[in-house]
Amino acid sequence: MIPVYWYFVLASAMFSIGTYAVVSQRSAIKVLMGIELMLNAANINFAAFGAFGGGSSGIAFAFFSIALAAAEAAIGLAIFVNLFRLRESVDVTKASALRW
Amino acid sequence: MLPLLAQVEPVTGSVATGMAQWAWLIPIFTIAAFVVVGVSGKRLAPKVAGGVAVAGVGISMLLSLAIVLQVLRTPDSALPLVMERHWLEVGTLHFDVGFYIDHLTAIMLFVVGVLSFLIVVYSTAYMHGESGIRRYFAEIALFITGMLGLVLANDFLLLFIFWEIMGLCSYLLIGYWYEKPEAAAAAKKAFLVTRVGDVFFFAGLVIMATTFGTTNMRELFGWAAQYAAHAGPFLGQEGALTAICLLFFGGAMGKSGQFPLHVWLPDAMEGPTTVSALIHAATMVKAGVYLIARAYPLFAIPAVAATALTFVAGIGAFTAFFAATMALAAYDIKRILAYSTLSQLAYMFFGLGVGAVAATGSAGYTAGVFHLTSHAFTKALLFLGAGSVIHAVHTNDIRHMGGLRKYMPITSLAMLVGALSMAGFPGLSIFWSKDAVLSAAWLASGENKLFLVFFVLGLLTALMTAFYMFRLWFMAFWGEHRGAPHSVAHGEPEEHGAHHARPHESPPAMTGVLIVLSVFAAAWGIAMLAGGIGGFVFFGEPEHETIVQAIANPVSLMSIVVGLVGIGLAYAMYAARTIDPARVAGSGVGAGVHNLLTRRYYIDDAYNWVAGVAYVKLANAIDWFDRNVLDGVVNGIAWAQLRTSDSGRRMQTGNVQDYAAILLAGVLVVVMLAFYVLNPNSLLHQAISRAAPQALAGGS
Repeated sequence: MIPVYWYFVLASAMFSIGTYAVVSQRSAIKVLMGIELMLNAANINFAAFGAFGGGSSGIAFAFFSIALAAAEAAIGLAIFVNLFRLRESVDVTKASALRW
Repeated sequence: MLPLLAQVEPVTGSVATGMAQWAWLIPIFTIAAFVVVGVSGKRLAPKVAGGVAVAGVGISMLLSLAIVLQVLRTPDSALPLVMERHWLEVGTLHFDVGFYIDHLTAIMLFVVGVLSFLIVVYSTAYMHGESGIRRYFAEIALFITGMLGLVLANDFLLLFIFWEIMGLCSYLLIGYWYEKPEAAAAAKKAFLVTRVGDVFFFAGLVIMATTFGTTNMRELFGWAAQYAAHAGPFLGQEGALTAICLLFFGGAMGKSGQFPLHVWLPDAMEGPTTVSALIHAATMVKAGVYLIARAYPLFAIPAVAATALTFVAGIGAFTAFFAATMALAAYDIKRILAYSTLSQLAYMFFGLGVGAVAATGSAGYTAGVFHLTSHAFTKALLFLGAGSVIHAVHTNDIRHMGGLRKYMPITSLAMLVGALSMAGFPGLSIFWSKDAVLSAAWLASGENKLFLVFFVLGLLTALMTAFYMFRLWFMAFWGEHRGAPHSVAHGEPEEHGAHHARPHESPPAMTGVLIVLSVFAAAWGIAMLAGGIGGFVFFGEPEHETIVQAIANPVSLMSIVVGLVGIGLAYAMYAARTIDPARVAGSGVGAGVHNLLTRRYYIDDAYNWVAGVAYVKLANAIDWFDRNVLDGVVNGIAWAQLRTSDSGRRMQTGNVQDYAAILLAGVLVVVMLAFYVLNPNSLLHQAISRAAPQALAGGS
């Protein structure tokens, strides 16, 4: 059987890649994809803990998280559609009107 | 009255009964006239407004006369008649409101009541056709309220309140023609200059209240009587009493126009002539003299009198002389009378101040008050006569008059009586009272040589008074009518719009009042003397001087001589023209003196320089300091704050990714803290717990 820490390594790698995407990418779509990666890294952890002795609650949390991710993606995409209508671009670094 | 207010039992005197218990109604009627005329405004016809004022003042006069009669019937031991109602208490201080009626109050009530009434009656004719006539009658009723209340007040604080009401009314009435810049300026000047005196008066009141805990006359005068028997709270307080008296006199100097606060009174001529008559004869300027006479028990305490009363006498004697010189060169009929008022008021203070020499007894006090009353009637006559002249010729300048006795026989005769009285012609009112002042001063000079100087100043003043009064009379009424080239009214606006070809006599309401006042100006003095004024208004022991005693003494003879010399000199210069006044004023020394006098000794110029140049410069300097130094500090602090926060707000980029990165960094810090510091198994934790165990005391 694959040892549990392999899952952790995979999840950590996905989380880091996602974080990197969120912080560095200019395109809103890519930022959203980064967020999805981070969420799914957490889902892998949930599933791994569930399978390795956590019982059904791990799986349940993973499903919750997936549902939330879907909702979040829907809201995020809606925001981006509006942003694009307003600015003709989805570059997050340009959308910086809420400052001094 | 109000049953809730407790009656305070007087220590001396007696609680007012009979007519006197209604004394508080006297100012109520005049103030009612003020309220009715003032509130109704244009709904009241001008004639009705005048009628209301006449009625209000008339009822007050009748009440005053009734109270005077009661005082005459009351034995001296039962005086003063007092009524007091508890007013307010502040800490240990208490104030009562009420009235205090003694002989001084009675004689003032008579003079103020009668003169106010006559002047209001005269006003109905004189002010006829003026646009602001309702305002005039409302203000004049309030003015008279102020004086009547002041005379009746039982407490110096209450007196001060009425004093201030008069200050306000003098401002309003002097500035009656407020659209005229000179009148507006004169009103401001009167208000501000008297304010200087009022500050002194108020300071005196504060010292009085804090030292003795009361400003009630009955209590204070009772203590003054106890002091003579070496008892009471005044013992050891001579210094405070002297300060109080000098400060009170400071207030009187402002109100009564004594040097150096005399500058407002000549300018106050910008008001209607009736207002001048009221201010000069019955109210306002007499308030200052009344205050000193009222507070005389305090002034007369020997240790106080030496300083305070000598000062009063000195200022009085100097101002009498000083003001009379300025009258010599004036051409405005009202200004001459104004200088004359200054000079005569100073005479009253001089008389009161003679009391500094104990040997004179109450001679000075009686003379001062006597002079106040006889001057009141004479000056009212002169001012109303001048008003009648101005009414007829529409000018104030006596150079444009002349020969008026042909056109205005009643006015010219009335003015002759007034001028004769003012000049001290034997037998007329002022002759007696002025002689009383001079005799008292002569008596005092035997003991204190300073009073000899004052006496000489007084005698010279009498000479000048006779001269300038007859200069006025001869220039205005003698010779031929000169008329003004363009008849430019100097003080009074062209009230009727119509120019009369030749001067005419005034309406009966005016001449009638003049006739009544002529009788007073002629006979008041001898009537008072025959009636024994020395036994009526006195301080300490009554004096009983007969008419023969009054006239047959060296002082009286000197005074008669200087009076006649003055009249003769005026006749020679302005009627017979044997001496040419223009040559006197044109010669070297004469021109210099003439210029000095017409410029009023440059005192007004000096005050204007202080107020207009020096004060403005000081204000500008302070303004610069305020703008640059004080505002600079405040603005500098604000600017520093602005710069600091400006650099701080740059952190808020508005870029979501920056916030995410900062959040991530924060999370990493927390995680590292958990792993490497708080975790007991970490090497760093073990190293710290060995080196400094207390640093982790709360963490594990």
